[in-house]
Amino acid sequence: MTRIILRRLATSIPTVFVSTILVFALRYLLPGGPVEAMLGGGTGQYTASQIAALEARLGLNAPVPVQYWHWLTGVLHGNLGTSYYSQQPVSTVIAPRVIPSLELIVGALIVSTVIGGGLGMLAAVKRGRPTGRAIQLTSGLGLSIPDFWLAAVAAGVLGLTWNVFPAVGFTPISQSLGGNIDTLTLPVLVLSVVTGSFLARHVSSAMASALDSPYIRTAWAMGLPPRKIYLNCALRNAVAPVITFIPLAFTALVGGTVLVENIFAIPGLGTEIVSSVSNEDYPIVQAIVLLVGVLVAVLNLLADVSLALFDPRIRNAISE
Amino acid sequence: MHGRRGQGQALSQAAPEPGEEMLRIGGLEVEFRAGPARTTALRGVDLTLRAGTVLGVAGESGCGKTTSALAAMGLLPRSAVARGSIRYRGTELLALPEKELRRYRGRHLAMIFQETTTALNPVIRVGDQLMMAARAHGRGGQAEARERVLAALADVRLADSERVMSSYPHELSGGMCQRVVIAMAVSCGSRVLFADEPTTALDVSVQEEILELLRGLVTRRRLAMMMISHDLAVLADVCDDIAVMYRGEIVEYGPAGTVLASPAHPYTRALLDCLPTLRGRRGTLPELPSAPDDAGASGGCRFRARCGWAIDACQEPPALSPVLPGQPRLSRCWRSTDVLGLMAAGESAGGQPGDAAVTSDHGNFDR
Repeated sequence: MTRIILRRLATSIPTVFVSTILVFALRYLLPGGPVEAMLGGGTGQYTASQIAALEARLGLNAPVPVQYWHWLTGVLHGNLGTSYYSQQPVSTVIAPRVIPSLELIVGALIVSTVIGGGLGMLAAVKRGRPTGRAIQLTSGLGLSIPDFWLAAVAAGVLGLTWNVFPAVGFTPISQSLGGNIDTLTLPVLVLSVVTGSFLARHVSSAMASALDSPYIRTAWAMGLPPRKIYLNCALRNAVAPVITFIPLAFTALVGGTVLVENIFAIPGLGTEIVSSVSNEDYPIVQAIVLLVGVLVAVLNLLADVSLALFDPRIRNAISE
Repeated sequence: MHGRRGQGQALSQAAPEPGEEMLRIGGLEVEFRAGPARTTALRGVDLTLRAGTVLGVAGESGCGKTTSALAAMGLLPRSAVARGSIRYRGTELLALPEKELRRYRGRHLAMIFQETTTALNPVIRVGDQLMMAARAHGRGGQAEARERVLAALADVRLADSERVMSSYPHELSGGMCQRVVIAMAVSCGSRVLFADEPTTALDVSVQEEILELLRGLVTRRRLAMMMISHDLAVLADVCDDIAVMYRGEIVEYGPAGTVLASPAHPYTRALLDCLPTLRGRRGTLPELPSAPDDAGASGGCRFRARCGWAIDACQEPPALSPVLPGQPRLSRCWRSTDVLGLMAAGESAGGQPGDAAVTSDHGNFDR
């Protein structure tokens, strides 16, 4: 098992390294530039020496690879730079914003795995019957509803008209757990609809093909009880697609949080990245993109390792 | 099954006498329904399985041989409707609700299939799969089930049972996997075993071993076995009796040696002609222009379109009847005695289309 993890790490590390280059290149790919962004109102009104002084202070007069090296070593030491906008360390700016976003994403992952996965299983077991068809129809609907529309409707109807949950705003978990859950329920549900529907489809087809396989026919022919056939025999073979799905879902959810946080006014990374982009606050944007990239790489690593744990054939293939 | 009363428990305790009638299929009809479409798979099949004997069922794909076995197992797809009678030691299985029927599967009736390595769950250790099946029918606990599993593994000649049990299916050969599946059926206590092309996916040398093993189990454990195969050579090796099926009907039935040495139905003869020999194929079936469907319902013998022996009388459907009075051989053909006569006399079937090369040298089927 250690060998599998080491082998997999050997591919994750270069991936992360390449993503740091891309993240760093961001600031040169976007129009304008840091100096322009910091000075604001155009560079025309400043003298060349003023601009040069600022560039020197920001370390922008060094060659690009050197700049990259400074940035990378800083990152590795936990120094993500200073926000151009607020002049505070990047870590101070984004740290409080990580928790609400993670709560949203993890909450949506749990809700969509449990409900979506459960419904997907049920759809496979009851396929061709009314229950199965209803689930397929529902998940199809869930996939085709735009999340911005759903978020607006949820905030409007459940939040404002029926007052079931607060329509907007956020209570940190440190203040009140109940309030925290209250403010997060709607956004988590909105985020879970698409991922949950997708997962339901995914699990249902994986489970259906498992149920059609010869080993399940053998299990029926040997008189195993249906509960064992579905849960012990078929489900184990349907777990793999769920595991591979989680990193994908995570990436999709990161995109979803940008929208949902802005609609529900939640002070997370999603709202932060939007304001930082419009402020051209590159160090913040870089830090958030890097953070997401590293998280995705780690999740992929975990997914591959757990796949190997689940399927002896994969385990054999990798360790050979 | 502690505390559960019912016939299931009472039945399992009585070991069958050799030759005892274990399963009787009578007038079995199966129809598949897909929306308004109806496809008849079986049109009144009668078969009897006896303890300690093997019944071979032969025929080409789609003739209904697997459907008969699946119907007895209660494993037909939901689109199928079965009518008639399937009695296991006096209990009418067709009348049982699924919940009741489930108690018969594994414990009384089991079925093995053509797939070998994929017949076992790829992500569960072989031992755990065997234990899961054994415990589903267990009277005792873990230890008792393990004993049954080990005994069954020994019975199917799997040496080094510890290693087999801790392996995953992909670590075993096809032959070993088939042995494991057979052991599973044995450890559950099955008295009736349906073997659907059990050796088709295996090497010829392994095929022989598995057939020998199955035959041995039938004798030792007094199993009543139905061996389904399209390969008459396989059936010739292990069967006591043979039923040849064509389009959902039995067209010939009788002791294996006799049927294969001197068939009384033109279809059986045609199947034998299709067997490859060292000299190459002796002949092939003429191809049917239409797919096997209900076209034959217009009346008459269903084989007549492909039959070189067809005469005017074949416009009327023949019944499955004794070939010769007082003999256990049955054939569904107006010209049974003609077909038989030719073969017995060792004459060439001169003048019959496609039969020119046929001779009566089927003596190699004697067991």
